[in-house]
Amino acid sequence: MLEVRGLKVSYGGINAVKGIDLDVQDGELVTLIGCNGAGKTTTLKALSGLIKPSAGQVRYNGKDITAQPSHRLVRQGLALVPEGRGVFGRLTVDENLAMGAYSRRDRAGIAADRERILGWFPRLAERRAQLAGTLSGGEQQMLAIGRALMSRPALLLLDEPSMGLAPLMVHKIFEAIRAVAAEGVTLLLVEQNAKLALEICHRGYVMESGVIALADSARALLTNPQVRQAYLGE
Amino acid sequence: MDIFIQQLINGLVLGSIYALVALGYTMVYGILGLINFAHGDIVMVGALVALAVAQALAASLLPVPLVLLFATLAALLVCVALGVTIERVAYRPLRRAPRLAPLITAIGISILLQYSAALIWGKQYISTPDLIKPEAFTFGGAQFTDLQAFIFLLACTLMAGLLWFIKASRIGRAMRATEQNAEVAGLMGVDTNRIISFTFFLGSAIGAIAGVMVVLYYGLGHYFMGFMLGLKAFTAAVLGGIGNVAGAMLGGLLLGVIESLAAGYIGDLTGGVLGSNYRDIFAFLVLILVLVLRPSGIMGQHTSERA
Ligand SMILES: Nc1ncnc2c1ncn2[C@@H]1O[C@H](COP(=O)(O)OP(=O)(O)OP(=O)(O)O)[C@@H](O)[C@H]1O
Ligand SMILES: [Mg+2]
Repeated sequence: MLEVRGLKVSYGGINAVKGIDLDVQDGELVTLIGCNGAGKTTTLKALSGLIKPSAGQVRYNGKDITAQPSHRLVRQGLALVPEGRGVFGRLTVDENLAMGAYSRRDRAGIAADRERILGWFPRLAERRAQLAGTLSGGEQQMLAIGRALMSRPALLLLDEPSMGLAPLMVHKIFEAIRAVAAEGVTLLLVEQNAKLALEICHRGYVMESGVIALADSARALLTNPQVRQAYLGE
Repeated sequence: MDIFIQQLINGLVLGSIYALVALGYTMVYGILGLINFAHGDIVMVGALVALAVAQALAASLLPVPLVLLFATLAALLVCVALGVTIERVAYRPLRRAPRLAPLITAIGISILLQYSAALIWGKQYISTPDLIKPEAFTFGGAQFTDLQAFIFLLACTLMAGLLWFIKASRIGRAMRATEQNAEVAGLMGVDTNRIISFTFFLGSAIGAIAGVMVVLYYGLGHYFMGFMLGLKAFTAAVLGGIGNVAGAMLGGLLLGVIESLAAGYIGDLTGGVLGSNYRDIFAFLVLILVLVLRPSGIMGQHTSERA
């Protein structure tokens, strides 16, 4: 579904991503883990059209999407839940969800999806008319995920959905992510919480200062001594 | 008392025009963080185009409402084309440049528009052809004309329509989203460049109508008229809270009223030293006071945004 070859991204003179290869198959759950500053966010931004790579190729469903802007990619089913959530603080919960469905025109389908998503996140359902800026961090993360789902993505990129959340909330978010995957959405998940991510995903990539240091099945990575020492705190 | 009501009415009419022009400043500021100093001059061009068309058609046998309609349509067309083109050609390439660059560009465009207008229409005052003879009504000891009522009501209708559009329509929602976070709006599928173009389109269209109102109201047009009008409308936008659409409306009306009341009483207050021709100082007094005391304006955005 997604094939990345030799992707390079630089900010001015700084090379943040130095030529990585990455694949995600249809229906797969893949995680990308790594330390702060490894280049994970930069990679997702390049995949979703927010920044132009300096080299390399991104293919999505067999099509070259390397130079496409993000607003076109959503229409092809590629959505990103950005780092730090990026909810529209001065829009209500409902309006945020409506923005998620901006690329769609099927009113009935949109309304049905909204109810379904609010069913997953009862806390949002209770706060539909509230400004998103007044939600708690966890609620905002739920909203950011729900909003991305409103576009009916085939491939969802998630950037650190557990960031800054209490354990209970992290648990809830991961439950939601599992539910999304169960619906057949393909996932590429960036996480600091490597243990949780590897537990729910099929495969994982480990990124270190702009390159892929390791790529393996999630199970193998969980038992890999290097990974255990560096990312699982053992 | 009479003078109070009289100046209040005059102020509301004038203020509704300021409000319409202020919308152009505030919407662009909201979405780009840019003070589009050329906006007042776009309004000026609209006013002079309307004048030119009205003059050309005045001699024809067309009924007056049609003449006014054609003049307004011409102004709309030219202003919208100007506004959208200026954004595309002058501001968009500078989107990622330091903020000073587009600001200086805006001032440059402003001067360019002024002197282009001077070349086309000359530097003299141009008077509106005698198309309409406003009829006066009395109300509580004060007078107002049907033209004043028309301007005020049309302006209020436009403002109410705009508020509704921004609040309830799909594009309006996309405008607010783009204003808050353009990158994320793009992730939602919003072509933010188009939304920005559309914002210039809206602001320029509303400005064109304001320009027609000005020439009808004062019966005069001038290549430099956009300067003072623009500064006052900008003041109105700052007073209401720049970036805030409802604020620009409120700020415009308030500024019109403040200015008219002050002009009505300045003679008495200063013992005749200053006459009402000093009215323009009040707008700037207001601007300075707002900037010093409450830079975020009356309705400035204070909503906290977490995370
Ligand atoms: N806008 C930017 N301008 C310049 N350098 C940047 C910019 N964004 C990121 N970088 C740099 O690129 C590198 C990779 O950053 P990136 O945000 O992709 O890391 P990350 O893996 O997502 O880290 P984290 O886990 O902390 O979110 C870092 O060294 C960072 O300083
Ligand atoms: Mg990151």
